[in-house]
Amino acid sequence: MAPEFVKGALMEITVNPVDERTAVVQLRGRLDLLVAAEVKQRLVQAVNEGFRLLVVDMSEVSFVDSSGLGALIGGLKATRLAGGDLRLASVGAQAQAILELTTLNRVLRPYPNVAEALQANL
Amino acid sequence: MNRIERQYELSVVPSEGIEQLHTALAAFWNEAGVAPEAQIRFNTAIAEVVANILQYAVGPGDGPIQLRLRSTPARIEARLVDRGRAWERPALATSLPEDWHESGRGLAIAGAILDTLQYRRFRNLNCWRLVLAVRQG
Repeated sequence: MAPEFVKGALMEITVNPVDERTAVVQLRGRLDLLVAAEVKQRLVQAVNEGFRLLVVDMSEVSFVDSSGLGALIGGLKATRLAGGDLRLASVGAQAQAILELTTLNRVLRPYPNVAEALQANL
Repeated sequence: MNRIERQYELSVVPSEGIEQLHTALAAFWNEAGVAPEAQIRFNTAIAEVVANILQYAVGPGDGPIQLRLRSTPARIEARLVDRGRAWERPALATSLPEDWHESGRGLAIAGAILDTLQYRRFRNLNCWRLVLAVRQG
């Protein structure tokens, strides 16, 4: 297996603190069954570290499948249990389509960009 | 829109098979001239079916999954054939779970997008057929 083959299937996850209660989670790659467990674990870990509001920057997510949606739901549940919220920002066309199809856009509300997601009240 | 048909093989190793699926779809759309919105819908549906095959049907030693993609002015069609274990009752008509469930949406999503989603067992083969009608204009 060529190294770049594996690299293409992996997702980069970066948690950037905004303040002590807020973080922007940057995802890069495909949010699918190959990375869903890792993404959920990282979101839950961020909540355990004290972040209550997580804004997931989706601008570099090229594709989302049902497992990826499950990871986001898992992260959303963790934030809500902590009295916070998880919001999506800069959602691409495919992700928007699967959110609308599953009607999960009602609970995973997409915001046009990170700044607007951060500004909306809890 | 061109009328084209292409055949691909997908590894039963999930990390490889998923990558090969997306590569195959990108190459196919490059030739087929299908509207972006239809590409998105079809990609979303077939990724769910392939994910289910990789997760629940095939294992090491089953041989690659055969994928045939066909595009005509009226429809986009995929046929997937694998040598994995038979599905007793693939939940083709499953409705979407409630919002807070983290799994169980895959085939419901595919079924909601596609005009046809069929499964049948033929000898030792699992055969899936996916059809998305292309709305003109």
